[in-house]
Amino acid sequence: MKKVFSIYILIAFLGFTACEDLEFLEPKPEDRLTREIALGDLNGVAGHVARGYHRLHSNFGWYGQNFMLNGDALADNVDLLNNTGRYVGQLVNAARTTYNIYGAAYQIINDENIALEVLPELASEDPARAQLLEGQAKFARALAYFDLARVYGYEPGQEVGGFNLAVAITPGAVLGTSNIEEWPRNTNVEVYTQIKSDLQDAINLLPAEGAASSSPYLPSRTAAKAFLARVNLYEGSYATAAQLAEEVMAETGATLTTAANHLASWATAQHPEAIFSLNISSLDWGTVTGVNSSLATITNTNDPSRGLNSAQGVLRASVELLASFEAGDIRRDLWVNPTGPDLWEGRKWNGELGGFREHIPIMRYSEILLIAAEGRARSGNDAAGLAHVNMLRANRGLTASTATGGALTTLILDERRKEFVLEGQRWFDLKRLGLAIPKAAAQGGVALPYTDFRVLANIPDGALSNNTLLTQNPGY
Amino acid sequence: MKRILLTCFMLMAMMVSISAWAQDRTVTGRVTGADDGLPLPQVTVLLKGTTTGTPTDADGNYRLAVPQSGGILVFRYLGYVTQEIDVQNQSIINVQLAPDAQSLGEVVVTGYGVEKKRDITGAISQVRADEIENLPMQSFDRAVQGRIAGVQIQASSGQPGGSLNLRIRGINSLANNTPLYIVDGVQVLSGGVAGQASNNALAGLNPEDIATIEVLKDAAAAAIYGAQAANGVVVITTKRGKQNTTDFAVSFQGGFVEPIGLYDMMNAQQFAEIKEVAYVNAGLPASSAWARFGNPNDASTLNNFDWADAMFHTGSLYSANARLSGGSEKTQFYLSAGQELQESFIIASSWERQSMRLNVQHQATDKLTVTANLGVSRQNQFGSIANGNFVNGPFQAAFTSQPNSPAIDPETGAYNPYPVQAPGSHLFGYNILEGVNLERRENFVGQVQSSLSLQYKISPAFTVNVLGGLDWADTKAINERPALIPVFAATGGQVFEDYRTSLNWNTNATLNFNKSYGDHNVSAILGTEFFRSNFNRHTVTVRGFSNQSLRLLSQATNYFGSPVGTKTYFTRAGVFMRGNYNYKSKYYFNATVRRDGSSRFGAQNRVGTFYSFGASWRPIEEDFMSSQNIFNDLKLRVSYGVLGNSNGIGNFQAVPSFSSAAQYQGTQGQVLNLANDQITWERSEQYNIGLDYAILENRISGSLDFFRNDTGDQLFNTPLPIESSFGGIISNVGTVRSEGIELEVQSTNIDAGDFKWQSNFNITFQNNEVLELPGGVETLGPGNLTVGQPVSFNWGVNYAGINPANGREMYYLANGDLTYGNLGVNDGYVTGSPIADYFGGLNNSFTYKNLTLDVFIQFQGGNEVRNGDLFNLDEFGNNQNNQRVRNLQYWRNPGDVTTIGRPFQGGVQRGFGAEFPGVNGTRQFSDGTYARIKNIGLTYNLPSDFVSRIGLSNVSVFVQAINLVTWTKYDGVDPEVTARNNDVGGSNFAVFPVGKQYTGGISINF
Repeated sequence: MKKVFSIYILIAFLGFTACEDLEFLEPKPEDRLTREIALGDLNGVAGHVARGYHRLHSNFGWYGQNFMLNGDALADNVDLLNNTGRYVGQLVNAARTTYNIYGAAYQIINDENIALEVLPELASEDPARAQLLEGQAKFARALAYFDLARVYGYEPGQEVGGFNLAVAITPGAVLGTSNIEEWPRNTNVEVYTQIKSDLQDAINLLPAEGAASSSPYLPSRTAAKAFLARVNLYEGSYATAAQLAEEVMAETGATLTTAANHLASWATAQHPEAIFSLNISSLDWGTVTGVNSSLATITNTNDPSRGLNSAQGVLRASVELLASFEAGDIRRDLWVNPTGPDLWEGRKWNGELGGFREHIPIMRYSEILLIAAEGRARSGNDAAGLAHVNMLRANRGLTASTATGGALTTLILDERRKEFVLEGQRWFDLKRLGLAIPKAAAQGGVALPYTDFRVLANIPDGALSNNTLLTQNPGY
Repeated sequence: MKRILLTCFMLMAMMVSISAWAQDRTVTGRVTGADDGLPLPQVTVLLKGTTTGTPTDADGNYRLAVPQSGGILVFRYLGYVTQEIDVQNQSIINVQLAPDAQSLGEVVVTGYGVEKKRDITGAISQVRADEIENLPMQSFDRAVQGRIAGVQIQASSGQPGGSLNLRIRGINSLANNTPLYIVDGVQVLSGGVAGQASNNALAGLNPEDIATIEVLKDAAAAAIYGAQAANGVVVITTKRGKQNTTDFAVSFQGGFVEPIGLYDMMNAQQFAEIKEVAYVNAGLPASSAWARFGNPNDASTLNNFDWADAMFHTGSLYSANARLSGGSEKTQFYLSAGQELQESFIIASSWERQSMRLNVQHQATDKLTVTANLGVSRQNQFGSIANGNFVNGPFQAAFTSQPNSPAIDPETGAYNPYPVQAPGSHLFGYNILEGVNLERRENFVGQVQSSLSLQYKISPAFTVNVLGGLDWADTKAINERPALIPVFAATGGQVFEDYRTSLNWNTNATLNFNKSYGDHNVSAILGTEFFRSNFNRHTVTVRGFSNQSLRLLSQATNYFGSPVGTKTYFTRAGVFMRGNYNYKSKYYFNATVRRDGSSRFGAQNRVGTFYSFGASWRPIEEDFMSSQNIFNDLKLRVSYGVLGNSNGIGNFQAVPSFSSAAQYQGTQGQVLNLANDQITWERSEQYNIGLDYAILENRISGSLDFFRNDTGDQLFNTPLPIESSFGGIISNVGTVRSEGIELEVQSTNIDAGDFKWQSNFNITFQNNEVLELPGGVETLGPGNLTVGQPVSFNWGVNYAGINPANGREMYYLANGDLTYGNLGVNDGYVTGSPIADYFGGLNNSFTYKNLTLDVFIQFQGGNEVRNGDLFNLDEFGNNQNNQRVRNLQYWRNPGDVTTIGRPFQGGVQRGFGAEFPGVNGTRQFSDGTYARIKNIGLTYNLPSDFVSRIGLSNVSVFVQAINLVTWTKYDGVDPEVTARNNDVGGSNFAVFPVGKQYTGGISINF
């Protein structure tokens, strides 16, 4: 009996100790990489940069769809065509039914921060490529912070009740839990400073248009400059905005569409005006992404002849938008009514690459032209401003205007409304100028005062509950 | 110990000497169980009318002296029917004792071994083959639903061959509550293995091949499975052949299935009425409503079509099984084949299985026994889209589709565009009848479950077992969306193929020791086990077929989307040891320890130790009980242990790493997987106090258990600041308590000659509570996990009904004020929990002569269910969806008190500032309590003299109904299939309910 026990104890002891460092239990994944390999060369860095760009369009709360249409639905440009439950809240400015890019933006910021963190030590591998990647990373990071700042905060100088917080600037890459802490919201000025610094770097780092690629799908020096012009416009640095915009117009290969080709330009794969555009590949979508989530499915009704089978057709032009077009404006013809006399659908988003897919222009020549116009007009040079806006009008089938002063800036704002409808600019144009948000009569017709709390989006509950240093926007 | 040995020796010497005086001749033999053929030790063998007797040894052998004239031997063993045998002039008498079904004496399969139920200190429930025989239930987990105390089983889909949730003793884990499944010693897959319909890997095992199902519920029973034991263990043993017999049996049954309690939807006239009112109320012309939906007062404009009638039908089902089993002294086999086909009550949904099993056992030498088990099956399933608010899901669209838009043009027989009046304006233009008929959603699942084991008897006390097991599932899922369906026309036809291979293997070796030292019985087991699970998956999508009858990947013009390529695995290894001791079958002690490691655990915590202690006492054996005649058996059990659960960790989740993800402009993206290299098992402390009883000559027996599982170190996705770019990181934090009371009662209520009435009842009361949360906080926020609340609860705002003044819906704000909307999450409160307070089952079996009637009721209660369908079907005619008929009771005039609001086209009462409730109103919640006649069956055994005259040994014919009657207050289709049943997350829209089945069949033994 004793012997039996002894044997058991011996075997047990051997067994239990053998288990400790068993090779068998060592995880050896074949489907992923260790940090040494993944961040060991510039290919890995490029992977993080690319991931950020992919997120910009794959997130349908952002440029994939909502961001492009919310700006019209929250204001006065569109109305409901078919009620599928979508955009119903935005149209009546229901609280909390607004932009939500918070999580996606910080994912992009960290994608790019990881790239920027390891680039210096890898630059010697291929300095030119490292420089390109750094420029691309900073461009994307600036884009993410800019959209965060304009969704969640007031533009500098337009604060209501002195509330000047934008979003938290994270100090660097999160590569492990030790990098994670709670960060408070920075002021709008601090965030704008960060954005402008990134864009200035991007201008210095990125190649000229055509040098790296002939397409607008990755940023060029010109695209970075165009973006910086937009940022300056938002913060009210009008002369700088105009200066930059005029430089872009001189540099870029993108061309202003004409009255003759403007309509058709929206059905071309690469928009001729695109200075920066997001490329969507057929690899990027699932089988029902198009019909469920694309831009084209929201703005078109079922049209098998264009491959838009079972398109949802959620949004149509508001009566007020259509009334704002002057006679002869070619942009009025972007609206058609195939399903009923009042059911005006836009033809900006056509899914021309098949299955609702198309590339999404983010910055166009006409925007640069109107930034130049507004920048000049608001910095005391009405003549230059008028020249720019008349150049656009001439290419949209309209006669030249002679407006000056307040009439000119109003004209420019109206041109922006008509030019960028379904591109998400309307809400932000009103907001950056501190104007009340007009609403269509179909939504009650009562304007949302600029001081209303809903002008800022709510910080998501999930963000607040996991970062005690955050403060919610007023009114929520 | 020496003294015990000495006593033993002396006792034996005495017996030898006693028998020496009366010695005439010797009878030897072996006693085995008639049920399993296993040797029975400690059987009392007595020469009738004398005090001469002996117990059998560990191998069931005995040796007894009898007079020359012979005599009668009495074989007595608790839990078995006592047998008497006339010795006559035989010298070898082998006896098979039949188990007494009413007693506690059955053999129970425990982890890595077999024990008498009498000797068990753990909480183990058993279901035997005869309880689930001939039930058309596809898989054993469905068949045992409601039959085991402490085990809650609910269909997560009514899809034939679909999956179920089996939860042992409640919800212990926030991450994963799936128990461990062992089939003939092999750890097998459970749950879904293919993607085009709810499916169940366990359905690859034909329930007709199962001999017993044991559920190991407490620490004492399950601890030997260490880091995988915390959710309990289901141990399945398949049937074997018996020595010296040949059994050939066939059975066949066929029947049909119908839907249960579908929604009562409006017809075209009713829908036209509410739409007209909605348009007019919204200031739109009635003529616009008429153009879309018809004029309710002009029958010529109405074109009624009953979508549900077109989508639901009576499905057929049949099954055929044949088995041949038997063997010689040394070799036994069991061979079976089964074929089963079940259609659903929804069109284009079915499940088919072919299964085969061969179990062979061969005694190669006196010491060596070889056992091989091989189960092979194939499942083929046509699936329906369910569990989501999907326009192409029949359980959504069959109800929401407009009744004035016929699916088919009666003239041409062709599918109409949807809706006919304005194609594309509703449900994405998806004609659900056309979509379901033309789309192909098919799963093929091929499975092999096999094991090979060697048993070597070193000495009477020592045995070595070595087992190798394999569980292999190879699946292919196909989704074809031909261009003939308008919504897919632009794709040119699309085919998606999804290939998955799961290959698990395990090996274990055990050394078993079993010896009695007089009144002291000792057994022990020492073992080691290795396990590896591999999983590969590949998918591809292609588009563009020149002809829609072409469906091969190579025939398409282009690839679409990114293909999926997955290759992953995990390993486990452990050593374990268990010791059992009992004194005079009166006092029992057992202890188990297992040291387990897993490749899923973080490098800092790769190996852990799990253990349990159990003790039981059978006062029935005490002298003070000897004079009573109420109790036939009584046993008290206690156990405590610490078990693990590692299901909640992904394969390489503890390894900081980088993965590929999504490309941009030809550059493959790369992402960081944040990892915690300390993550490890959930640690479950489990307590059990139990009582097994048999009273009134075993007329009533059963058990009562109290359990408490406190599971700490929960694998919880701890949220991180969103600004970090990571949503959270898995860490071991928080504690959940699951506790309850289980009662099992078996009774023979009437046993009067030809008539017998037996009952089987079980009920479990359970309580679930979060004890501790990450960071020691009281709550993770409104509507989130909260200390003192169950792990799953409903959070809603209080619905205040319809304002009689204007017909609008009202809600209560947190401060008690009424509002039309503008509600935030903070206005919500805990309205109830989807976790049932109690559940169980009651079977009544009435036998009169050859006729048996079984009535089995399954029930659960105290849970609250949210029904998302009400969003679509009770929206007062505001939108495009067809409505339940009750919406006709809509608000018409100020002062009307009604539950249905004022129809208003578009839904949003327009006007700037109108806002929506941010959370669910209590209107969608209802009481999920139900009781259901799960099974009612009538069986007639043909008279045996007639049967034997036609050369058969037994023939029975039967008819039965499944889910015949349901009692519930639930405001929905099926209270059993509801989202967040147990811990199931996901959508509560458009679930696939279970159906009502009627079958009849015959079973013949040759």
